[in-house]
Amino acid sequence: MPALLSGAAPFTVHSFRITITGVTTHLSRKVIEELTAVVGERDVLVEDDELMVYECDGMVTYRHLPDAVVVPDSAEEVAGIVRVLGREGVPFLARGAGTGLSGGAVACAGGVVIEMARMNRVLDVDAENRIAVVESGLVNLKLTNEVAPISLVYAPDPSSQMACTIGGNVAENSGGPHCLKYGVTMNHVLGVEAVLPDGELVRMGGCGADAVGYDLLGAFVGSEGTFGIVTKVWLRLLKAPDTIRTMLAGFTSIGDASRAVSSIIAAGILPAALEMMDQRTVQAVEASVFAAGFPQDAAAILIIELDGFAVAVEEHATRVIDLVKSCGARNLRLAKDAADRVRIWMGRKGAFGAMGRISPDLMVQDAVIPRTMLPDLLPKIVEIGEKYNLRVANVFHAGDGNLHPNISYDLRDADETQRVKKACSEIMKLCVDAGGSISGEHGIGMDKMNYMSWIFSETDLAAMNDLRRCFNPSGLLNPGKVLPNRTCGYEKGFAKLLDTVPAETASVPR
Amino acid sequence: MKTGGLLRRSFSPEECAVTEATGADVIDGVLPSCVVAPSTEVVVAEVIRLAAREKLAVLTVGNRQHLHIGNPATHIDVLLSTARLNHMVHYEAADLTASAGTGATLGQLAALTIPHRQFLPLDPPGQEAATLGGTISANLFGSLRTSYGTARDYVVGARFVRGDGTAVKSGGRVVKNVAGFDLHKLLVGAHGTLGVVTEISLKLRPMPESELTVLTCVDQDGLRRMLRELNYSPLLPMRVAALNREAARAVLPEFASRGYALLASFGDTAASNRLQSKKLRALCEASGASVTDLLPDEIATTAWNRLREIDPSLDAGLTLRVNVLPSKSAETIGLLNDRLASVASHHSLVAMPLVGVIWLSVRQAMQSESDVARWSRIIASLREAMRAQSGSVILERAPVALKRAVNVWGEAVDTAFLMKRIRMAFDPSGVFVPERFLK
Repeated sequence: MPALLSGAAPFTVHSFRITITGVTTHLSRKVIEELTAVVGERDVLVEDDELMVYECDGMVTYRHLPDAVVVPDSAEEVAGIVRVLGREGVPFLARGAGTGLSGGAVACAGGVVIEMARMNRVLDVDAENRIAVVESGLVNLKLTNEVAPISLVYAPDPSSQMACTIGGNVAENSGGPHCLKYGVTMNHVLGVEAVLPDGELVRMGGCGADAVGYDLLGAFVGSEGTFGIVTKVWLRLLKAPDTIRTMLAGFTSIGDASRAVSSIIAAGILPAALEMMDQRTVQAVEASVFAAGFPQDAAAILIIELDGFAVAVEEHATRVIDLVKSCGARNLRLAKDAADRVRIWMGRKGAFGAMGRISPDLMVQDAVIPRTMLPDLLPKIVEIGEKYNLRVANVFHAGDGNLHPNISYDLRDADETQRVKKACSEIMKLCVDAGGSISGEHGIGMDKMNYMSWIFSETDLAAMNDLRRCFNPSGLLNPGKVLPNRTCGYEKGFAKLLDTVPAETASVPR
Repeated sequence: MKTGGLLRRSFSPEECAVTEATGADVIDGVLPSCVVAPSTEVVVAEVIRLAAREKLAVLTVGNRQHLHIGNPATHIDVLLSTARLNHMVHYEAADLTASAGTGATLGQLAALTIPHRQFLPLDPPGQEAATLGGTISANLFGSLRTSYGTARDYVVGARFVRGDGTAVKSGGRVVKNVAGFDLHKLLVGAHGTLGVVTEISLKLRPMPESELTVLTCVDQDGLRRMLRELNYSPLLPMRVAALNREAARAVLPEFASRGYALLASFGDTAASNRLQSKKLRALCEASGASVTDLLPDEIATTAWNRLREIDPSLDAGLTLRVNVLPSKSAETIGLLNDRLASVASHHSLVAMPLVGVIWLSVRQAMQSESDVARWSRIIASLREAMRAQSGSVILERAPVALKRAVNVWGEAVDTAFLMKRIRMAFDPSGVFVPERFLK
């Protein structure tokens, strides 16, 4: 760890320097007092040691201390906080569990972080309509657990589901292994209540019955916390499947595993999940607390999960087994019971954590390619790693073509860190050239703003900015995210500040 | 005349065919000046730039099967036909994705995908000829919505031309993508008021391996019990429709129904369909259904097709769409059926009870001012009744006199200010006949 910057700097950084200088975003006493009047003294945090927790999210390369953190208990308090900050021109953003992987929850312009953790209640479960009404700070898995006894499920299950919040999921339009069959967060949100950046509390979407007018909800979900602060969410629940069959297949090459993926889809079978892990990932998992008995000698493994009615699942399972065998699968293993299934999924979802054991730091990347490109592109990604003398491991949602190349490195090693940057950029370029996208589920945040122009023109970005201005005219809500700065002229107050942010950070395409 | 001349001078016929509008082009009593058919997005953009400059009102049309939806326009200068923007851009079966020009029809897409046993699970009325752009812009659906959802679940990207003539892309061609803000989701159901959609990228689904349809007949009370039991059961029907007697006569003429006819199908493997059907029939009988039958495939297909096209086949003077919470479907069906019976001699009711959508069609013509006044009152009272249930009533089809008297979309929602801001951002000069959607 390099020496921290001098005391004059308002924040600390790793070796990726965020060179924001000459900006004072410290809050005035007046603002602090007004915030205190809204939420009470105990719920306004201003001490550096308290603020440290909020310095970064899951993408640790972007760090900036907020000037204060405020912890509301209700939508009315959120609205009160937002009105104060809007009036005083202080930037702000909402934060769930901080598990995001694109720097979306970093107060990169200083200002106030609104911590949503305490608004975590399940307000209602309407079993007949299969709708849950929850507060936005509710942890994803808690909802799943809450509705399990009445045989319902909330489908989106990001790997971070034990910690991440529904509000964060709505902001990021989170995915997870089961979105191949069931879709992403977007497909499961019926309505949201949100505080707009001017402090107005609005309800968007149907909340059960079809709404009239523009699909504001469609635009809002996935807006990365830049359109409004979600306070309440109406979610679609699904009937728990009658039968779930989970299987594991090992392959001697990534190409064979990729072909198996394509052959399953081509056969018209839509598995609930279709995940791939390469040998490096498997070995890391097996050496960790998440060890799930994955075959370590396989070049790649597939986790295939089928669900539905028993008669259909059994029929499909037989066909899938034939298909994967014809693609060269060996070490075929069927989860023998619910506990075994959980173990397999713990292994998959613990992959990022397990990778972290290998080296001090892990760059978790996210990109999408057309599924058919998997056999061509995966070896090329490994080659890029080799070219930069890096260990790239792949764990991903193969069914969706959503890749997560992970690079283990040591942030203290400036040269290695530089090579990671270059490799990430090349991998991203490869995916874009293949007709893919720069993010499947982690979001753009701060991390990928500069890749946006690879897939969108100036006019596309301007249109997106225009939409954001409709919701967030002042630009005070979560500034410096998603759109490259040159398209955000309206954020005048921050323009100078933000121009400097990503320049020396992780992912700058040359 | 002047508008047509201006456009003709600006484009070659190859770029953009311009014809004078005729009586056949009248929409809600408004005669446009001309009809244009641009050949490419670039030409669309030029037409819109010109329209913005000349303050012309442009209404985008596909195959014009659903233009009855919307408030009457005050004025239309140009009908912009998407007929020539009908190219297939890409179809990759193994990726379950396709992109096409906005004027491509659902039939055109199906012809490509069905040989691979894949489909876009949207089944609006006039399906074969419905254009992608029209289907998406009017957010059309049919009975498949029960299990497959709506257009917003399938649109993964789009290209469109804004009100100032700039062409914009949103989303992409891959099934999972969170890059940027999802402008393409906003275009779904925007009735063309945010831009001219030129190209659409879609996610497809594997076709059901087989479909097995159950027909049953229940009274009001049985319907309520049955739907409730169905909601709580593990059964996963692919589509479910409830029909009143008049609608049932149109869909299954050989079947004499008592009470409500309920069509439900399963779209899993054959074995699973048989099992689920058996369970459903048991559930129907326990709810007091008088008949439950498995329909032979051919009859079932005919019934579902007729159901899809039922509205035009009734030649309805008036069609209302009611949205309620699914659990309120049965009681709302009863309430609407009774109310309509007291005000009209014939009415058909078709519901998708599991999604809470109910369509009511009345043949009655609107002849006099007093008819209009009477139906305005009826609609107002239905809206009030539905408001109490957090539901809404949309007037989907009506004689223009009635549409002028009532806002077809109902009263303004709380977020109307945001919607207006968005409309102003994408169409500042009001090129896209905004009054049809947001009044």
